[in-house]
Amino acid sequence: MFDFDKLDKIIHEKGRLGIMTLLVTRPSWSFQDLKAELELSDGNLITHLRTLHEHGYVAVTKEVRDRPQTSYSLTDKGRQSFQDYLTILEQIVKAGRQ
Amino acid sequence: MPTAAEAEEHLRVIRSLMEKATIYRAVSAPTALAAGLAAVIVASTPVQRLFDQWFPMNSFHFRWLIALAVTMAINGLLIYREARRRGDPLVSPGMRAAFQALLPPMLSGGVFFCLFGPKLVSALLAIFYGLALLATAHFAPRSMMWLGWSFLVAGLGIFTLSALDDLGPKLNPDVIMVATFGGFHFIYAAATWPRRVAAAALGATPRPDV
Repeated sequence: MFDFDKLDKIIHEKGRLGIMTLLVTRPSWSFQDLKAELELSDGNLITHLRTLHEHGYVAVTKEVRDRPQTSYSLTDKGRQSFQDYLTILEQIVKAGRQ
Repeated sequence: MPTAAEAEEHLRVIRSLMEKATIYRAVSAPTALAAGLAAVIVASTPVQRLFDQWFPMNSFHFRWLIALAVTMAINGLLIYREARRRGDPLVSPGMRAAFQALLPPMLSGGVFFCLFGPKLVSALLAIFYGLALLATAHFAPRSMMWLGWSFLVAGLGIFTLSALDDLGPKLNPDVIMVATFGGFHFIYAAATWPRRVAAAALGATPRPDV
């Protein structure tokens, strides 16, 4: 038996779950790319990214190429937490089928 | 505590986002536009006359090889720029998957291109190019499948008409190439470009699922 309280409440919110999922697929995502893919408002996206950053799940890189650009990537802690989150979700689904 | 239904819904969201993020477009709208323009240019009368003088036996093959080379060079440049913008490696997993899918039909098309004359080659190229695009089905956007099917159906139709020989209409290979490699690519570029422009206006990557 497992403890459902282990389910990460930070990730278990659709906006943040979307961000974490996209960050798993590539080394880094720019703010504009995340916004376009998730169709979130600037404010919503910033809030979710800030939450993830404060919990150590997301690293922020600011650089100037042709213009200033902020990009985001998963930290090791974020990657591990996402993995754990997926495992618990799968366990919940399995438990529901029994 | 989340229910099993809620957990399944979250897993579905994760899967669909991951699939969307890993979609790979082997032919972008600008590449399609370049391919269409290259087709029109190499089939134009002045270029035909020039190559007929230089390579009287293989004018058709040389001209269309140049069109292919120019299109591939432009595609490579666009892929390089996009990879640099995103900070991704040039040879991404998507590119590797696309290459593996495209190689067998493209290689087959290449062999037929070398062996046959213009009459059959125009149909065979459309068939093998269509098959190559369709081979990317599991990670390509829907529009790519439409493009693939268009080439395949047109190629098979032209091949059938060519096989009828004297019974069928006289088909000019250059006209066929302009209609397929020119026309289809122009339509594809026009169909996929508007959303690219809209996304570019936001400074974002174009949505890949068109």
